Amino acid sequence: MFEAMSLGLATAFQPAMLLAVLVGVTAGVFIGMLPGLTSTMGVALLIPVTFSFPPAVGLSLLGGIYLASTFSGSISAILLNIPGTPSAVATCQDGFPMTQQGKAGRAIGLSVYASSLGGIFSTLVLLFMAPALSELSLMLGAPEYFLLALFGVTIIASLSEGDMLKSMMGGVLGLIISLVGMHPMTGEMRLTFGLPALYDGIPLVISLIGLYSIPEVISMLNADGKAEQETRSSFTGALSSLRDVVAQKVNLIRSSIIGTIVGIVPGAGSSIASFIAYDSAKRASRQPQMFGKGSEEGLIAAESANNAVTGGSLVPLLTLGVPGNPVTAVLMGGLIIHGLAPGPALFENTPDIAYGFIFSLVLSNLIFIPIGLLVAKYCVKVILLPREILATTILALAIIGAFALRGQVGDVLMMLGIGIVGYLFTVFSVSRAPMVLGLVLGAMAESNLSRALMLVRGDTGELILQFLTRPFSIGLVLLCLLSIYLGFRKGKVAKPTAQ
Amino acid sequence: MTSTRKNLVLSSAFLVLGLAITWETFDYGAKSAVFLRGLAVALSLMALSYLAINLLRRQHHNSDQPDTSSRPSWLANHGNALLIFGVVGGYVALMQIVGFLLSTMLFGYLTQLAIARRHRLLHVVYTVLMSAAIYLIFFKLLGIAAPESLLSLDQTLKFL
Amino acid sequence: MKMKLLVSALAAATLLPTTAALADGYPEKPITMVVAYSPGGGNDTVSRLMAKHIEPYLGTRMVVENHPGAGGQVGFTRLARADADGYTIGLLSSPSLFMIEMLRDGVAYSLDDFQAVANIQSDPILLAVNASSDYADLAALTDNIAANPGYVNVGGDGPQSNVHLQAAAFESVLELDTNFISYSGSGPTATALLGDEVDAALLSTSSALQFIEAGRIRPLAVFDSARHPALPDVPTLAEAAGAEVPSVGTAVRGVAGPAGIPQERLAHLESAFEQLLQDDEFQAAAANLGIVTHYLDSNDFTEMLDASREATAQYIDFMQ
Repeated sequence: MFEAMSLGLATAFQPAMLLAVLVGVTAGVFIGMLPGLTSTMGVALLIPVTFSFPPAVGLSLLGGIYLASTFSGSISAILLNIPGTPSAVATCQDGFPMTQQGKAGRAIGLSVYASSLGGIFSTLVLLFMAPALSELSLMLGAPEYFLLALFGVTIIASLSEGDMLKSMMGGVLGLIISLVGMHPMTGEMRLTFGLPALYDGIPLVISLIGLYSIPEVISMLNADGKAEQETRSSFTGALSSLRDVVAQKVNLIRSSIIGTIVGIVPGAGSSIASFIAYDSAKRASRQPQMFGKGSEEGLIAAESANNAVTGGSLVPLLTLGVPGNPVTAVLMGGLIIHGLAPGPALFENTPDIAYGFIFSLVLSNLIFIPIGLLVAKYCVKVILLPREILATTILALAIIGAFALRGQVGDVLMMLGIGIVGYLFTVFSVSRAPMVLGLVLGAMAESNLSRALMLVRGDTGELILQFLTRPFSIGLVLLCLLSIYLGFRKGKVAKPTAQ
Repeated sequence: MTSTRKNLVLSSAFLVLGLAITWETFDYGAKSAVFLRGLAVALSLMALSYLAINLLRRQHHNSDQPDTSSRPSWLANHGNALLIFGVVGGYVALMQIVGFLLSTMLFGYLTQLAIARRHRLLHVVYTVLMSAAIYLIFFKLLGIAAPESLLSLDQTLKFL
Repeated sequence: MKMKLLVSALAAATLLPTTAALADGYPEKPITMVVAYSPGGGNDTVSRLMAKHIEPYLGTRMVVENHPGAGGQVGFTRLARADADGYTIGLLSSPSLFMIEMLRDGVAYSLDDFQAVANIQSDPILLAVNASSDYADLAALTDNIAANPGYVNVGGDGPQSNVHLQAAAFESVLELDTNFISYSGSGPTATALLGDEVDAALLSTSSALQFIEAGRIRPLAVFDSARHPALPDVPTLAEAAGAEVPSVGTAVRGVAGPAGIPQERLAHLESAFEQLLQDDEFQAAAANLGIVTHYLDSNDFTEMLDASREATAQYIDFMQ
């Protein structure tokens, strides 16, 4: 194995590969930053560009885009409270408050370093532990996926600010909306009202664009402060943040592990990872009340987790040939087009390509630091633009981005609809993060619960037994109970001060 | 609105929504509907409890806090929101009639005008730049298909 | 004398196969291929592979446009409604094409709205078990299913997919009752099989190949009229079970355009795809990806589509 690895290492440092990493990362930083473009879109649409390149080079380019865009979604999340990619939703929680406090530079700095370290961690795990992890991942089945989704739901309570009921209602609404469309087992359409555009449900990206872009633009118009703009656009303190990120070793490692593991679970996605990491950082923190108001711990946790997902998500893709999320599905298409079959054969027959790719990921994780910081430095000035220009641009990107996802104008209307809901949420002081969690988790919970039930032929008693006897299930059940218990305790403590 | 009153409106809205969805689920087969129905029922129950909690709060607070806040008109509060919704809707409609480029330019200019409330040359320049940039990035570089429109002005540019 | 030579040379030149262009200049601009599924999937991969190699035969670039949604309905509708000028073609995927039509209300297209150009790929369904499973052959599996009706878990892409349709045909002809478990694609189904979550699985051959080669799953039978070229040792279902189960689930992908394309342009398209499928580089690239090409000209493809539609109609009610 080590010969293969050194072969890969040598491959990764060839000039063409380094150039691919540079181009990929730069493209990725811009793609992730724009609220209308996601990593999946960026990778999918740039695959044809890589046709004429040798496979390893093409893959490195795509890998660079994947990693860099996962990070750069945080730039707009921090500066504008609009996540550029689904992975950055948890970053809005503390990133934007930091910008409001004039600490935008510091927030972006923390984000860059945390993302990079999280990404490197998971890539090293991919490098050394991929085969073992993929065997482990085969032990997970429908019951475990359901319990994971359930665990995610219990976190909704902890994300609440103010009245817990409000947040939970938002969360349940998110869960309901995510179920629109075909039932995963019976094939029956729910809540589609006869519109084919809704048969596949409302895509998460559309919801996120609507939920965040529209209300933020409106609030931009409602705000008056030139002074605010000045505060928000200060970029000091970016470079010095590295020291502080490294100082939070426990947080970093815990969040990276969470991200890597969630990345391995198919269908889970980076938003779930960053919320779980955020939540556990909050529980472990000595200043939990700061979370949601500019807590650096929360920011670091969310950022390292969402980038750690990238390495984890490549484990099932490269070892088993099974993609776990939309981006890796597209990457698989890219691999196939270059004539490579993902799976064990990839490592045996073409170790230079396989390991070269993995090492190029490490390089990508490092290169997006300077590029990200440089780009962010100029982006911060964007806040100073006259608000009519900023608002119009964001709206235009939101609309075209929503359209670009599937080439359907109907999606733009869906986006507007969800945007109206998002605005109403802000008017009625309902936090949006719980709804996002609901949107992410609902379909996953339902499909796995119904599948788990079908596997035991409808015998609920048997299913409950499975929950209590399968090794990973037990762990997840305990996590859920712990989460619910802690959520209640927090609610009880908060009641006297809640209004 | 005071926050308690806001919460009352919110919980009523959620209650109505929850009940409507629960009702809707009875049109579906048992297996397909059960999860959805459970969620909708949960939503309704939560909304009901929240409604009750806030009614109690209102009773509790009414005695000591007369509502002295001045009430700006509803339009002043939400005028910007309506503007944005209208502008987005209009853009979508326009896009299907005159095609992407023209509608984007109109949208770009008119929105800036509406927000800044005055005309500036900058608006025109920026509109052109922004439309061109979006066109190039999304439809040329990334190769997405432009939306179809009645007057297919974009199609002529499609294969440039 | 020179003039005569020139004229005869020109006359001879007009008889050369026109891969370049027709008299009216067709094609003057790139041709769009509408793919009804998302980037990265099987349909998209085949289309992009063709786009990569077809330019010399087509006389212009072929540009792939993805219009995913509703399991293909959005893209198929779009193709049916496109201008029949020969500049828009698309990839049809059967039996999905028919299943959508038959299972849903208000579907805005039917088979008559399309003009077949050429069939490209046939991907039959495979029945497999985990390599460490006790089932040594199909008979062992079918015996167990017969002894425990509704109990044996068989996974497959579903619901309402071609795999599900094949499962329905399998159960109906052999009079078996399995517990069909739907997964969102053959990929997740394969993972479930590897993890022993299901006892057996129906997979598309193209996605099963890599696992078979890695020795992790054991193929029991293939639902096709002849053995699969990449798997010569795997019996067809007819051989293994002694009964004919129609291969309704075989994913057939072919190129078609909206009905009404002018005859000349249609012929040009047909010849381009015919030559493409004989191109060595294309064949090699396809083989590398486990894609078994299966060329049919427009008439044969039309026949196959009609037959497929009939077969689909026959078994569709058995899917629950």
